[in-house]
Parts: sequence; structure tokens; C-alpha cells
Amino acid sequence: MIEFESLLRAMPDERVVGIALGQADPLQRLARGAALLAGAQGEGTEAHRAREALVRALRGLRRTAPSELRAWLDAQAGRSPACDWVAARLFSEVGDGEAAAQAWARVIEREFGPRAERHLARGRLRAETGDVAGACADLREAFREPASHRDLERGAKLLARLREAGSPLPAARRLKVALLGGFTTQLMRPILDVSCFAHGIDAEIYEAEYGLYRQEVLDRASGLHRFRPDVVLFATHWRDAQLPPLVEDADAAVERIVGGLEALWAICTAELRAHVIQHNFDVPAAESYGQLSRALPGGRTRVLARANLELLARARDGVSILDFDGAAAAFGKERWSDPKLWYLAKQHPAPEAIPLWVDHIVAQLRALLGLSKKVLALDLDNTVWGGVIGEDGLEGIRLGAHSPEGEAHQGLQRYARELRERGIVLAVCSKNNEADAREPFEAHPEMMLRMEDIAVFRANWKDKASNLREIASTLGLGLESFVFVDDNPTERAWVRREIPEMAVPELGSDPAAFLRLLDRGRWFEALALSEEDRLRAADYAANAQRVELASAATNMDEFLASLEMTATVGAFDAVNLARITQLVNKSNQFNLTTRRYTQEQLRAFAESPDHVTRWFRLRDRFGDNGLIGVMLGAVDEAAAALEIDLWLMSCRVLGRRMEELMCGTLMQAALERGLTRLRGRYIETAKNGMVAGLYPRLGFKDCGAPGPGETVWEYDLRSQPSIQCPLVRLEDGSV
Amino acid sequence: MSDLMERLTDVFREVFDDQDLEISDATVAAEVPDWDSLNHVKLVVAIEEAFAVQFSNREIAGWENVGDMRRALDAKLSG
Repeated sequence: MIEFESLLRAMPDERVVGIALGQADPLQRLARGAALLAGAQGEGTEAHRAREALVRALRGLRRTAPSELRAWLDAQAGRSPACDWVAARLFSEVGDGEAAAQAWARVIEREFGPRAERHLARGRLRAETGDVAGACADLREAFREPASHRDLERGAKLLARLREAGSPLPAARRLKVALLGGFTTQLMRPILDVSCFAHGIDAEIYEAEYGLYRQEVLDRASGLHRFRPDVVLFATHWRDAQLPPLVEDADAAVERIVGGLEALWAICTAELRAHVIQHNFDVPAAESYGQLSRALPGGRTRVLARANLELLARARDGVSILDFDGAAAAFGKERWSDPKLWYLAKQHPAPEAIPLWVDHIVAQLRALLGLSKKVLALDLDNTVWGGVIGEDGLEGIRLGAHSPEGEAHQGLQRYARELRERGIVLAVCSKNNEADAREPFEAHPEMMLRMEDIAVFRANWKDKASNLREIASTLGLGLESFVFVDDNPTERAWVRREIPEMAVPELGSDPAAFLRLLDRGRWFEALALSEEDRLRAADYAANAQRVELASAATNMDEFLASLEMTATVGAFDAVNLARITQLVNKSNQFNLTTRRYTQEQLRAFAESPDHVTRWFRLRDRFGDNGLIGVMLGAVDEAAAALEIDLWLMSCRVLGRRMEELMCGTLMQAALERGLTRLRGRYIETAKNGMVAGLYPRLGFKDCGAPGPGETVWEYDLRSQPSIQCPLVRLEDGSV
Repeated sequence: MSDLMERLTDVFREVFDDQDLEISDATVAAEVPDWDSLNHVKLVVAIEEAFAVQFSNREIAGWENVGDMRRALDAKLSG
């Protein structure tokens, strides 16, 4: 038997487990199990499968030899993460949730084994004991990285169970999504649900019968219209274009396909005030005309490609196109569709392709809600360049065209620089002597990144979580808007543990793959590129200069005066609506009510006679801050009052007395309409504590608290003078 | 219970989200709550994913009870 056990130790393999343990008596099985487990300690897939096979082989003992199994588990627990994994699985089988939870906690602490499995297992245990918040945290942790259809399906079940408890789950945002499929969406729906949740969106999903998307939109009494969605997703695919392999008139075909959809979008944006996400067409891999399908002007492949371009050309405000064809290509068209499931259940695409497709959708929803990331924080040694600058020196680090490794690091730098050009803020967070860390930025010829590209540079020996917190507060941005890139798994694990809301993608060990692994998270997705986005990175650099100037100036007013600030004010207009929507949906700190509105709703306010809308831009001698403030007032004729429904400002212009100018502007608007009172409301959130005292500071009178965390304030425009802001000049021609 | 039947039971429990679900060769769809056409498709997908096998629609159409599923699976795994 000794020989057999040493054989097991040497060859832990799923196939031998059953044979090895199958015939023995309980004690012998457990002894062999221990030998097998001793040999299957690794992180690899084979070792993991062997451990799972061991769990299956031993769990029968819970009935036949419960006390022996129990003793064995107590002996295994705590020995190593691999032993804890097996113990945790079997503790659950014997019904000892507490011991299982402890074993999972140790596994999780070490980040051992498949991420989704370990967190879903603990999440289920937590759900059983009523720890909803803990279970939700595990759900999010489970799906930090791309996951399989099967794991997501399991996660969706856990989410459904948590929802049954009734109370709203913790989430950054809630969103009503209508799913209109040209094919059946029943397998996709739970995956969309749990993927949204993992990214902080608690989605309420309405799913139409497949193939009925036109009727749902056209029939005003349909479930879609009753549902009042925030977002309508047209999940269509190539068959919905209803194209024969060859058409006579390709122009007419494109018009029929795209024009038909465009009419449906118009109803969704105008009547439902919903944002539309429209699939483009996934060009099928199998074509009867072969390459002629692309070569002939009327060929199906060619017409679909043209229709895809035309969709982009016609997508106006409130409509974004989802690259379904790109998702298919990235997944691999050969495997993208499962013909069997199409014939069986009108299922498209193949179940394994659903997670990637859903990732595309969730990235767009995040962008729509202003939840996309804004900052890329970079480690330096072995991430931005190969080697350790403090040891290898400027000549010794690997960077640039001289080595394949150096090219990979340079590629990542180029990617970061391109992100910066489109408005993503770059920061450095590394463990180095600062002078060493700066040297390549200043003197290495192959560097793609320069000091001026980095908004905040933190190279020291403090722990990285503390440094990242500091960087966030220097930038005035939340930790949840960061992506942190570090080659060192220990640092990654530490930051994830300390700052769960930060995205810290797995990068593997090969620098050649860093860029792709970072990119596949779709962290920085945006629906449009605004002027503000392009200015933003430069803006943060200018802000850093302002911070320096501020610390030099002793008198705050003197400092503010030296900034030579000029504001421009206007009512909501088409040009600024996209930026206004962005700001309304992402501002958390200087935000009195934190009410979120879609672009369509904001457009409606602009057109409404009962509302006063204002946007604010601010520039100073360091540059243009762009559109940084939004106010919305609702006229209450009966009370002769203007109620402030929205008042928010970008964090990058905090402390500039801009709030006085904003408030004064709204007072002016109220007076012009013959109103005598300005009413404000403060609704407390986890993040807007900085404006809790704003209304009393500006001279508003306390009018009580209509609900918990909510206070109402009024300013009497007859007895009190309008607020002035002498430090900010108002641009001529402003409203 | 055979190892295969035990693993198949795991898949059923997962799909129907019921940890106490027991199945045997004689179990038919009508006996299991929620075994509708959608869950049937989910079951096929889950079994294919769990055991890394593929069934044809002809094979799927021929299944009358769990025993048929188990035998089809057994044949794939040993074939």
C-alpha cells in the first residue's frame, strides 16, 4: 500500500482518484486521500481537478463513516491552501458551514485556486447565514476577472437567492434595462444580471419574447412601454437583417435594414426617454457564396458590413452601437454560434460566448452611467520597464527596441500614453527611491511616457494602498475610478484586499501579455469623446500646479484672485448635453441631491417651461476647466419658489468659490421669473458630506427634514440680497 | 450510487437550484418542478459544460428519462 500511496503522490490525476480510492475501506480511503492531497498542492488545472475528484470520492463517507471523515477534515484544515480547499468543500458537504467558512477564508486570503469558485462557495455560505452584504461582496470578488459561462450561471443563481430576501442590495447604481432579442435571450439574461451586479449596477431587466422587438416598440401598450426602461438593448443578429445571399440594389437593402431600426430608436429615445444600445450585425462565418459574398456589391457579407457602418453613421445622441461583430471576431467566429442550440432553442450566440458579449454590454452601461474608470495607476519596475531601476540603473533596464521584453514594456507605455491622450489620467505608484524612479522618465530615450504625462507621481517605500489613497485625494477622484497595474501578484492582492473598489487586473507573468489583459477589462469605455475628455489630462497637470500655488499663497482670496477665473453660463443646449449627462451621472462629492438623469430626461428639462437649466464653464490662467457645473431648478408657482433639483460640480474646481457664482446665477433666474424664494434640498449619501453645510453657509434658512438624511432649506429673495461672487468674473454674453 | 450518477445529480441540483433534489434513472421531466423547455436547454448546456461533451439534437430528442441521459453521457465519456 505504501507503494500505491507514493504512486498517488507522484501522479495526482483525476482519472486515478476513483480507482485508487474506490474499493478501499473508509480509513484506507482517507489515508490514500491524504497521500493524494499531499501530491496535489499546486495551482495548476490538473492539481485542481485532482482535488475536485478527491472531494467527490470522499464525500460518500459523510454517510458511511461520518466521524472518521470529520477527524480527517480537522487534520487537513489549515495545513495549506490546497488542503483548506478540499476541507472547505467537504465541510460544506457534512453540513458544517462554520468550519467551511473558516477554511474558505484562509483559501481566499491566499488567493488560491479558481477565483470565481472560491468566492461563490463562500458567498453561498454567507447567504445561508443571512450575511447579505458579505455575500454581495463575494459575488463582486468572484467576477473581478472574466469568468466562464458556468461560473456566471452559478453566480446568477446566488444573486437571485439574495434578491429573494427582498431588501435592495448594495449597489452603486440601479438601472432598468429592456432586453429586446432577435434571438432568445433566456440564457443571456441571468449572465447580464450578475455581470451588471459585479460592476456595481443593480439591474432590473425586462425581457421581451424573442423576435418581437418591433412589436414591443410599436405597440404603446406593450410590456416594454409599461416597463419604462432607462436603457433599451436591441439584441439583434445577422438573421434579423433578413438578407438573401445576393441583392440587386445594395443601397436599398442597407436603407431598409438601418432605416427600420432607426425608426424604432426614435420611439425609444423620444417617447420612453431611454438610451438605446443597438447591436451591429455579426457577419456569419458560413456563406454559400463564399468570398463572392464580400466581392459582389450585393453580396450578403458586403451588405452587412455596409449596414454596420451605416448604423454608426446614424447613431445620434442617446443611441450607441454595440460591436456584436467585433465580439464575435474576438471570441472566434468558428465557435461563436452553436448551430445545434440555434435549431433547438433559437439560442445565439453559443453559451460560452455569452460572457464576452455581456462584457461588451456592461462596459457600455458603465460608460453610460459614468462608472467607467478615469485613472490608470502604474507600478514601475517590471511593469513600465523590465528590471529594477534602483539596481539595474538607467542602462540596465529593458525598454524599447533592443529586446523583445523591452518592446513589450514599451508597448504598454504606448497604450498608456494613448489613453492619456483621450483623457485618462495617469499616475505612478511604485516602491522606489523617488530620484531613481524619475530618472528613466527624464533621461531614457526609449520611454514613451514623460514626467508631464503623469498627473501624480508617488515613488517611495510606503505600502501601495496608502499611496493610492493619497493619489486619489490629490486628484480629487474616488478610488473606484482607478485601475491599478502591477506585475507583482503580492502587491495586487494587497491592494485588492485594502481597496476592494479598485480594479486590479490579473496580469500573469509575461510582460508581452500585460497590454491585452489590461485591455480586456474594458475599463475605460466611453460613449463619446468630448472636448473635456481631451482636455482632462492636461487639466490635472494644471491642477497640480494650482495646488502648488495654493500652498505658496498665504491668503486664500489672494490666491483665488491670482487665478483670474472667468465663468461662462448657459441653459442646457444640444452642444453641451452629452457632457452635462456625464457630469450629472458621475459627480458624487459636490452633489446636493445625487439625482441621476438620462440624456433624454435632461433634454426634456431643457424644453420644459417649468424648469430652469444652467451649465457652467470655468477657465483660469492655467487653462480651461471645461464644463464643470450643472444646476436644475423646478418652478413651484404656488409657493413662488424655485426648487433646486440638481446642483453639482466637478471635484477639480472645488474650493474656488464657484458655488457662490452658481447660486447667485440661479437666484437671478428666479427673480427674473418673479419668484421670491429659492429652495434647496440636501440628500445625504456616503460621498457628499462635503456639501452637508453648504446651504446654511450661503445663508439659507432651515426648513426641516422631510425624511432621514434629507433636509430642506430656503433663501428669501425679498429680504435677503442675492449672492455675489467677486472672485469669478462672469463672461459677457452669459445667461 | 455511481460516480457518474452523483456528478449528474450535482448538475441537476445546480440547474434547478435545489440542493436536495434526488434523481434516478427512472426520473422524468414531469416529476421535477420547473423542468420546462428552458431548463431542459440549460440542462443540456450544463451537462455539456460539466463533462466537456457534445450531444446532437437527435440524441437529445431521444431522451425520455434521466436514465437515457445518463447512458448517453456514459457512452460519450467511455467512447
